[in-house]
Amino acid sequence: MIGLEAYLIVSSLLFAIGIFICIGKRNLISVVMGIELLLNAVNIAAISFSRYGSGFSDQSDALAGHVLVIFILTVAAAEAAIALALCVLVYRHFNTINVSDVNQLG
Amino acid sequence: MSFFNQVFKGPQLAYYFKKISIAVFIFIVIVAGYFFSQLFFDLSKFSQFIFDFVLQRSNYNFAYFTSSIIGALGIISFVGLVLLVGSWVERRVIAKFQIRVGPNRVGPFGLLQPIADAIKLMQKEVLVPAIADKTLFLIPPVAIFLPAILAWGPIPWAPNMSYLNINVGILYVFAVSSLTVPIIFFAGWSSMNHYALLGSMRTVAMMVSYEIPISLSLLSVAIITGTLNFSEIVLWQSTNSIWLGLFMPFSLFTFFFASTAEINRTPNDIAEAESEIVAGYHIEYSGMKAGLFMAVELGNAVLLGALVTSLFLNGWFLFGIEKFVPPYIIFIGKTVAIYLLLIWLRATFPRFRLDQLMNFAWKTLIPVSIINFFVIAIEVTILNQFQSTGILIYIFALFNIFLFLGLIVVWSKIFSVDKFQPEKIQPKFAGEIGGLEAMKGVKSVD
Amino acid sequence: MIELTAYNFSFIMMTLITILPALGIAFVNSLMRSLLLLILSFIGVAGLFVLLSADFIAIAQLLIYAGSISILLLFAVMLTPEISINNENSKYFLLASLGAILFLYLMILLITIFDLNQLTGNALNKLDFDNTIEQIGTLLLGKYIIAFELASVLLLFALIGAISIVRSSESDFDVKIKDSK
Repeated sequence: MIGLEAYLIVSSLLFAIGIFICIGKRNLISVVMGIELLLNAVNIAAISFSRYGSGFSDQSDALAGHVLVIFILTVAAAEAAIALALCVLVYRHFNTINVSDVNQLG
Repeated sequence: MSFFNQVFKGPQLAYYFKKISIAVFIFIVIVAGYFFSQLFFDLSKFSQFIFDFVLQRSNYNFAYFTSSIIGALGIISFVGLVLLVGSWVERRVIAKFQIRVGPNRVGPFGLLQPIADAIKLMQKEVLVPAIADKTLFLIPPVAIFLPAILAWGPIPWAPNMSYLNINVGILYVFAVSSLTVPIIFFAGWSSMNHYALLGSMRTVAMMVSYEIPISLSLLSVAIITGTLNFSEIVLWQSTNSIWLGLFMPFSLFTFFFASTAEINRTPNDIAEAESEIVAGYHIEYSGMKAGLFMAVELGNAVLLGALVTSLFLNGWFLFGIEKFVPPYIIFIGKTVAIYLLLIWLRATFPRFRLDQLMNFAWKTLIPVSIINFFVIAIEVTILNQFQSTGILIYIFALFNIFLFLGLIVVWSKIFSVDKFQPEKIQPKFAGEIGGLEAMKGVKSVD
Repeated sequence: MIELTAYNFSFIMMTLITILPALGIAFVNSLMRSLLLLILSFIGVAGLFVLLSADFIAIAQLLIYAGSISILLLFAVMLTPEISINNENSKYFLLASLGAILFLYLMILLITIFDLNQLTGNALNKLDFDNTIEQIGTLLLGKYIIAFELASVLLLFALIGAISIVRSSESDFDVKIKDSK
């Protein structure tokens, strides 16, 4: 029987991989990719709790998880745009987007 | 011919005999076609029969799996047929426009030409550039088929006959077709060729900009029908007895024009302008790989026909004829009509430049479709006040048509193309300067 | 073991499509290939959403992540030239893998502590929505209207902010226009 547990394990696996990519990668764009994976893992968790959860106070509560995911999607789009603009700016300033080389303020 | 000449002693009798036999043949085809179509009027009975047949002999999972596989095979075989016959149709029709014959050597009327072409393309060597990223280079020609075939899913062929009858039909098609963009980019990037890369960036920029007008026009369809389901949109048009293309002509125009940019058809096929600039993202592909890109383009053109038909041209309904002719035949007929319109456009128009296309998208299409969307939203709120739409919807349709024409006139007056053009250096005739002798003294034309 | 119904089979397939490409991003050295894998992973997540009967969210996932954010990433890669194409691991490789494994261990501990199988999803089955879009629309424009409006403001700020960050300088911009004339 595949239930909430299986989905949460998939979600935490994806989150772990996201953490690994965020810390272990040299390239700034890869780090942004890792952050997107983290957000995706959170989305899976939110939707699976919304699907399998019980004890909604009324009917409108049942899809609150979906609404949360829509807001996460919106914020993710905004975050990706700004982060990638920053990547381009960092490249222009330091001539590299290797995270370990970008260690000065100006 | 010579056989008839010998028997009937004269060319005239043979000529009439041929005419009469053709007429009899057409009559037989019509009669047989009528009975045949009555037999296959409602294909959903067959799928139900298959489903029940499998369900009696196995469990629910397997029955569902089998029927879904059969449905998918139906769609894939239709797309395959379109890819085979479509290229022949396109070449023959363009030949008619250009007053020549077109392919007529292989098979009757040249019907086997596409197969001969395919065999020729398969025999060609597939060249992979030495510095190309080989994995990424070989994925796109195959992967580009996925969106093109997946998008056929929610198309409503007839009542009770659509493969994916989902509540998010429009969004599904839009989302799936947006997957084409990264595939095209990977095709251009992995070639490791500057021309291919520039071509792919050009195409990606164009497709991303034209997604906005498409989404705005689809939004106006969704707001008036109150649903995203294709079958319900078609039914809405028949219950209110108006074609949505008539109710909002600007949305139809926007959808059609922007979609030609999405699928790289004339007049927006700057992605593959071999004669003006080096052709787009697929210049490094040879043999069947290039053929696959061409085939997808053709399939997408027919898909656009199907989308326009179901969204704006009332799908399988045609003034009551749908009671006698199978509805899916009407649907395919309308689709083919839109496809022929696309071929007509290709035979008539030259290409737009990329900057013209981008200017048109951002400075004309998007603002005007936002205005159009607001007008339609106001009309929908007024229509929702009444129980039945009645005559009011026709008044609004008339108003929308005049608004559409008026907006075009106003926009062309205020934002005329000339205002965004850099100053042109006109060549001068020698006579304007004062003859050939005076011309010798002129250093610069400015 | 798990019995092989259509649902379970689809779940396993979608999990593989999600997890394997995500692992691939961690070990592939070319940034472009890892981008392709990222798109595949997004599609897998959309498939999981379909299995969780969230059709609208699945399509939104496909549209926003696989369709739009991937293209943003593509443009970012193209605007930062050839040096940035490699996707190698940093010197924190061991630390990162340790952190990921610790996190996974913690999560699995947490998941197994609670008896989650008592949540069978019957509560939602009883409500029996035939259309989640209507419900989501009512919620967005009713209960969560302030958050919805704020999200639109956020998007506008992100749009303007991204443009103003990337645009290098005024003079540079003018010179290019003069050149074209």
